[in-house]
Amino acid sequence: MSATADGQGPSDDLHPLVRAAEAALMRALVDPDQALRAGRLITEAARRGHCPEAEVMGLRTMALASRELGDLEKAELHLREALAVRGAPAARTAQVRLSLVTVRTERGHPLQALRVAALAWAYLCPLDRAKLDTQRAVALAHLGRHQEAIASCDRALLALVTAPGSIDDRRFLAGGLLNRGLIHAYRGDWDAAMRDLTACLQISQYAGLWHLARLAAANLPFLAVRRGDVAGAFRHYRDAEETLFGFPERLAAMRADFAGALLAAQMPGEAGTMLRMAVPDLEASAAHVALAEARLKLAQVELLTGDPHRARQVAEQAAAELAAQDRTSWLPLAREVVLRSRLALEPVTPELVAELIACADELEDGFTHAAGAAALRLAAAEAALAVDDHPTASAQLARLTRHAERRERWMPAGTRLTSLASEPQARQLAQASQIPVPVRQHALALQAALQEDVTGAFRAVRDGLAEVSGQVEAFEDPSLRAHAARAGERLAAYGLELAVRDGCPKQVFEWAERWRAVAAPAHACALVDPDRIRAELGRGALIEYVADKDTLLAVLLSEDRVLLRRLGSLRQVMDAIVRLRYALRRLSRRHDVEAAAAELERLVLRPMAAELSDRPLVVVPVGALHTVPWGALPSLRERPVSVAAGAAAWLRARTARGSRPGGRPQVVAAAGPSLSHAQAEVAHVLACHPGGRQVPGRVGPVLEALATADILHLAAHGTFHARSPLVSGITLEDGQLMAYDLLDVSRSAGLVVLSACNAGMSRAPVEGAPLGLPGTFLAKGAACVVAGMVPVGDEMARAVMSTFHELLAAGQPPDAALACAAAKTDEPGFVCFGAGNEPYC
Amino acid sequence: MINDEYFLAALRLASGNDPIPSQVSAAARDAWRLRIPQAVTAAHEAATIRSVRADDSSHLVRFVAAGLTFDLEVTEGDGLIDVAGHISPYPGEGALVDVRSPHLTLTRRIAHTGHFVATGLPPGWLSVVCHRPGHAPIQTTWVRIRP
Repeated sequence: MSATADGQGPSDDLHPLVRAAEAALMRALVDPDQALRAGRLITEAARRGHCPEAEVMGLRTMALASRELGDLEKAELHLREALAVRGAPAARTAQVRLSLVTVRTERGHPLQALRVAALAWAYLCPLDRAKLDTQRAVALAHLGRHQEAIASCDRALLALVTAPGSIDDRRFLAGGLLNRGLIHAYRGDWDAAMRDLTACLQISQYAGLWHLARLAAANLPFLAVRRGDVAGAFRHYRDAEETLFGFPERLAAMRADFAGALLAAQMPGEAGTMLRMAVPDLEASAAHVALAEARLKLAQVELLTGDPHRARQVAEQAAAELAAQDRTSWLPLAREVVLRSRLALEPVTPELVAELIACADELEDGFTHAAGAAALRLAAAEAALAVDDHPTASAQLARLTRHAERRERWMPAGTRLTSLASEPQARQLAQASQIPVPVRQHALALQAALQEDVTGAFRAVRDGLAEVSGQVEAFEDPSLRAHAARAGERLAAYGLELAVRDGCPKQVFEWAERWRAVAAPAHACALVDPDRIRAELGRGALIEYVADKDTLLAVLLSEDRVLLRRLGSLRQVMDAIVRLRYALRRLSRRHDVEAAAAELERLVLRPMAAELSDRPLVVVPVGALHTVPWGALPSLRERPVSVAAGAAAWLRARTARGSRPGGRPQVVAAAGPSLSHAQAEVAHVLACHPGGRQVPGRVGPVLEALATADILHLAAHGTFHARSPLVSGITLEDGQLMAYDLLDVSRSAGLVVLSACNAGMSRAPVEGAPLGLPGTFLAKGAACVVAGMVPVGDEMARAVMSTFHELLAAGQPPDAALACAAAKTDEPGFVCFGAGNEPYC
Repeated sequence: MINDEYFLAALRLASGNDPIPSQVSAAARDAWRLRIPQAVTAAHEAATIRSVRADDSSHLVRFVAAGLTFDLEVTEGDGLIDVAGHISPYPGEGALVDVRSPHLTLTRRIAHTGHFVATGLPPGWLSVVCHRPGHAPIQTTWVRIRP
């Protein structure tokens, strides 16, 4: 009262140093460099002036600034110094502990952080308690206690919304929203996550809290993938990469999160690229919690991308780190990677089977990993079969299929009893419903096959694939769908294996196509009858390659027959392809190319040579065959060849081209930078097609032209990224036109010619969905794409393309025009994708 | 002082007080297994690629020793790498190459053109050894292929 009577506000009572410290604290978030200097000055002055309160605050300022700058170790050091200051008010010390909660959590000690929080609680005012709650939530989330974490956030946010609104209050409000959003994301509630993060972004932008704004923005790539928007995710990623420049730890954390989403979307190659960038930065900034998680993800990536040895090492390291952080609920995940690596490296033993089962049990107990537990249990059952332990296999399969059988039992309406199941039983049922469909159906099929019921096994696989197809239908983006479909890949492979065992060509064809239709409906929406394909082929032939484990097979369809050929080892074929591509790339002596091409032809075409004779050909590749420059094979010289993702995909491409009533096709051409012959090539192309026009070689105009033209020709540098086929692209003047830029376009020119190296290369994460430029154009409605499969000389590209367009303008279809142009110029590096047998002019 | 700690640890190991940690001896054995007695080592040389319409992502490395030139080209698939190579002049009938990573060795015959291929290796350290009947083996230095 007296203070008010004297006309002084309560804050005027404060020591001037304390007031300065309060101001500096606020600056720590906005301008950490300046706050660090201010904090140091205040601390020194407070020590001289014996003002413990200001000293504590100065040290806390330095800690917060250090943390913003990514130096967690120094941040903790300053906080510990502050705790050691004697005579400071208890509330100030408690505030130091509040900050320590965050830092301890980030450094990998969430359990200790919670203890620190408990120490601080009693001495904090209600508002500070709310702030503490937002930080406790992070520690709780790291310990897997998500429900408590959300409750903690809810409580805190309720108090913070009505707070006076100092910058610190806003910071905790925005930060609390951020944390809650992230926890929602962990629990798979993407809409709630998006809502919280958007609110956080708005508040922090409004309050000038750029760091928090960046953090919210940095989570958008992750969330975008989770919501099924890969194109948007990579765009957000590029933005975030730019905004986080100079904040290595934050950037690394963003990459690790993004990688987690990519991994969940079954894109391990892309995830690996992100993680290999993130892990060293997380190590350098001693962010132990994020590091352990990132390392576990990296181990999963190594296993999925075929390096079990490395996977095992990384997983063991991750397990040690997680154990040191008391994060026991994570340990079975690391153990799973180790066991699966051993499964890939060692012969199966009964001991390994027992360990697999034990790990599956542990994962199941952890609730959140039920789906992973089921998949591992299936692997354990298969391993048991490999050592002829049928009782164990059957017991494990039964655990996976129990629920399915229960559901199938018919019960008249009204007679169903209320469940009186005991709690453990109810829990078991809840877990059974979490068994992923492909795993359950695979288990059912294996069970049927064990009882020699082949029809039942086929039915189980067919039902499973139908459900997978329904589940991934939600994804509009073809690449994401392809990756999501990977979940059904092993089931599909099992169906194909059963068909191959039966040996009926039509059945093998049907199963190969069935899977391709699940993987890429943009290419092939429905199953097609082989007889329909044969009718459409006319005089031509279609070869669909099929991989059954390590063996390559081919189904040939022509007007008079359907036949199945076993071609030999996939490894041998891969070697031959790599050798041919090497010879072409190095422009070795002619003899070397011919020898390599003849060898590949011997492996993949010779067994069908008689039936093939000189028919025009449609090729449906599998695996590494997506990288073959088919025109280089001696018997395919001068023969029209189209490459399609599947037989149904070829049929769809055939019907994609809406014929232009009467008029000439609209031709648009563009040239990319730093090539000597691209400009002349474009001029020649336009000379071939009267009325054609050139557009500037920039991304915008080219995308616009794609939406209007009938034929689009690009002469430019091309790049292919096997690990991230979506970032493969064509180099234009203002940057890359990447495959993922195309995901948003509404339509594509009917014929797209990419006169560039490697632009035709694809990687098929699942069969039927080759990812790369040709597949993306075709999915957007192109009927035919012509593109280079190997590095092609600048001048040579001009020569091929000049002849190609002359023939095209003379009324030849693209496949025939390309075959002829390649033979004339002796450059077999280009391939025709889609349906290339319809003339354009 | 970190050096003192190492020194003390070394002393304790040397005096037999502490057993050598098992992973240290395992690593040493692994490294020893990679050694090839009497091998000639081919040194790394610069190599160039012709001008084409690509920023070629494949790695090209060249090694030369004892009159043989090794050209190696490494390309990436989904996580794994493929190695294609050419040894000139042709080292003769009966010659073999070993394409080695620290944990995997793939043995391949050399075609009459001098070409050889090994697919599906993990990225990381890589070395190639050429065995010719009647001659000392020639090994390239280890190169690191980053994914």
